[in-house]
Amino acid sequence: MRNHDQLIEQLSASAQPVRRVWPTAWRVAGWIAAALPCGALGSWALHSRYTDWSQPGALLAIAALLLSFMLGVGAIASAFTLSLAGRKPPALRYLVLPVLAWLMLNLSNMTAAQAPAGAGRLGEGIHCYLFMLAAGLPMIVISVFSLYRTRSLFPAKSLALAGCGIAFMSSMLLSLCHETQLHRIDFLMHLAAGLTLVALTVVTGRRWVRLEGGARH
Amino acid sequence: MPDTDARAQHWPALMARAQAGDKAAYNQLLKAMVPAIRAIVRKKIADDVLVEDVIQETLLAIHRVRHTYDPRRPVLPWVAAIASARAIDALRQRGRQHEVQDDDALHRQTAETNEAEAGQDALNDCLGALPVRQRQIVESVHLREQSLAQAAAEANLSLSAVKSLLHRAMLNLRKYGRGKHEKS
Repeated sequence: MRNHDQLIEQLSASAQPVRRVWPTAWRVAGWIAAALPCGALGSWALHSRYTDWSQPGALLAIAALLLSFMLGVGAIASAFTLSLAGRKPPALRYLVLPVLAWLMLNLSNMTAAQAPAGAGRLGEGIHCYLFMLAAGLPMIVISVFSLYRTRSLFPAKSLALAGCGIAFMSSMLLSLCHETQLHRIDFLMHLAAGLTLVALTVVTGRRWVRLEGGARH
Repeated sequence: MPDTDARAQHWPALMARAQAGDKAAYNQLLKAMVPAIRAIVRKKIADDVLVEDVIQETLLAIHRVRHTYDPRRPVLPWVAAIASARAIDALRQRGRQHEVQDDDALHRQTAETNEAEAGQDALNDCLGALPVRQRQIVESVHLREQSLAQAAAEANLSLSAVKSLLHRAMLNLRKYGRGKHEKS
């Protein structure tokens, strides 16, 4: 058995007062307060119109928007909880049901829509894709910064959850300036943008969020 | 771990004082935690040397994220999560290290050099060929027999930075040794 007293002496001698991390609910509230306005500003250049809530399918679109917000909050809260050692987020199976409900809402809103108009739809889909990326990028920076403060024993999982939260929040922002009914290509591009945001969050944040044993604090 | 549980009842208060900057409380807490950490790590790792390395890495990790501990919660799950994650990381890393690893290679390199040059002067020559940072890390780890974690703490570097310096030192020493052999 090695004597660790020398290391402990060094660590305790260098210990400065630290500011405790906020409770998760406060951290999530702070994240929403910072990320949503930044996301909206980030995507402002791609913002072409406001949703006309008098169109058919508006009720389903509102329900999908609310579910997106709830799922976004849930995923971010899980990411922050998981980043704290010894804490487990609520089982992911509780998120599965709302995700399925969100998918069903979007699919049912899509089938009611008129037939897609080919290349024009693709252009619209690409616009949606870019909108979600533009809205999500500032949120990625804010999320990585938030997770950098606590680090995580499970960086990939924490970042993937944060990425899901970002994807749902971006999708919520998009539905504020989108037709109430979805087209197939549109929806596929929304999903592609969500997956891109999750991947980008994991790839960009991994280095910053990983907990290493170095003594820089 | 009933004994540990009983002792750990005071740890949240000690950690709260440590978070406020009380160095003595922090010192007392870390020392008290070592046996508990050892017990947790031993459940995952049989190799004694690796166990002690993981304990040091756990202590460093605790130091780094001490602000994430909430004193209203029990401390053992927090420590156990950190220690388990460090142990798993160490096992993964060991699995990955089939390529030449710094320690053995550097020992071998140093031994070869000593045989060829017979003695301390040769060692000094070798170390003298290294840049200052690399030499300091080699001296810490291989001459003063500090662990990687201790060397990292002393040099105020991350573990990966220390490993990288050691690796580069090994390459430099190898190059230096080859050059010497060619001359002689």
